[in-house]
Amino acid sequence: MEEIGKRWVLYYIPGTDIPIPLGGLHVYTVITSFFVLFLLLIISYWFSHRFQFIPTKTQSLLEIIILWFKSLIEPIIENSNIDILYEILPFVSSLFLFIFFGILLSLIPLPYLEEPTSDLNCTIALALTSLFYSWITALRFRGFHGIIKEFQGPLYSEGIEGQDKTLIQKLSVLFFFPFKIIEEISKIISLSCRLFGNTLGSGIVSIVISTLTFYMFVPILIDVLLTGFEAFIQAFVFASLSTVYISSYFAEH
Amino acid sequence: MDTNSWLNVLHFITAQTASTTGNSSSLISGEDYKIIFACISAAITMGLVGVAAALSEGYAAAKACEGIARNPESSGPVTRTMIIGQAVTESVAIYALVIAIIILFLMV
Repeated sequence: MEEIGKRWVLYYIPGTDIPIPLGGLHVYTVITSFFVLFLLLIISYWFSHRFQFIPTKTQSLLEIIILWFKSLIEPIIENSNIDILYEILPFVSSLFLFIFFGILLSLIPLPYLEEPTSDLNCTIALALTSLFYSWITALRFRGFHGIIKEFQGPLYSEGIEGQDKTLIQKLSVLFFFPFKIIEEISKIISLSCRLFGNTLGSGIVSIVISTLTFYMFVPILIDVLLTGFEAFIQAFVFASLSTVYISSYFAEH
Repeated sequence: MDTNSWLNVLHFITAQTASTTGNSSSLISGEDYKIIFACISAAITMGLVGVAAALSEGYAAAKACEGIARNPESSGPVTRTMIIGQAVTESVAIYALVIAIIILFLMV
């Protein structure tokens, strides 16, 4: 139990004295996340390299999964912006699959095999990816003017088009702009810390129960149940909140 | 009662337990106080935030139950909204968990 927070970090490139930039490399996190990525890549290629009009069994499974993802994010997006649904569907579903299989990876009984999302660096990377994707989607569909309008706050965009803005509306931009910036930063912190704390917390609970019962057969069931539940809920929440953040740039005022 | 007397009480208790276990020569130093207070503060953090998070999440679940009982066809969207809302609520507890982990593993 003393090795919970410890991770193997490479500070220098092996064999040389050249330091690795940005504070080192977490070896197991990189290995496990790339393992999950290649696993998903191989599975998706194996299932989808030939599509047929009358679907086979694997193609039917894939279509069921995609339709489930569609039904997941469809109620979150408003009806007026339904055309961005097929744009953000691949991104959100790949986030879901990465987190789900990344947490399920810890069920494989090998030493040093941990979830990639129980490292704060991985979750911060996921949150930053989600946030930058929301900005890029807003840029593509609403233009630079749309983002500026979102950052100006709700009071500035009121009134008739082409009319001069009043002084209060101009002053309200000074009030709303710092809060919008803080909101973007707090999105990163809340997304990353939620995923990190949940995966690490469920891992600690599994370790504590295993230690209390001297590693008998009961913790296997508890671990499988807890990890499966945790994986599904966290992947669902992360994908839903990413969709909420993406579609917040498309809200009608 | 100033803080020094509290420290004396703590010192007395831990010295008693140390003497009963037979390791009477070890008196408590500053590093031990650091570990003791880190454990106590982590426990207080998790206990307080556990009360708040459990109450608020139970309230959300009760309201969702009411909504489903009143309108059983809406169980899908209500459950989805409840899970998202509970996750947002739970993030406060998760921040406290991260703080407790930092106290336990990085500061000690």
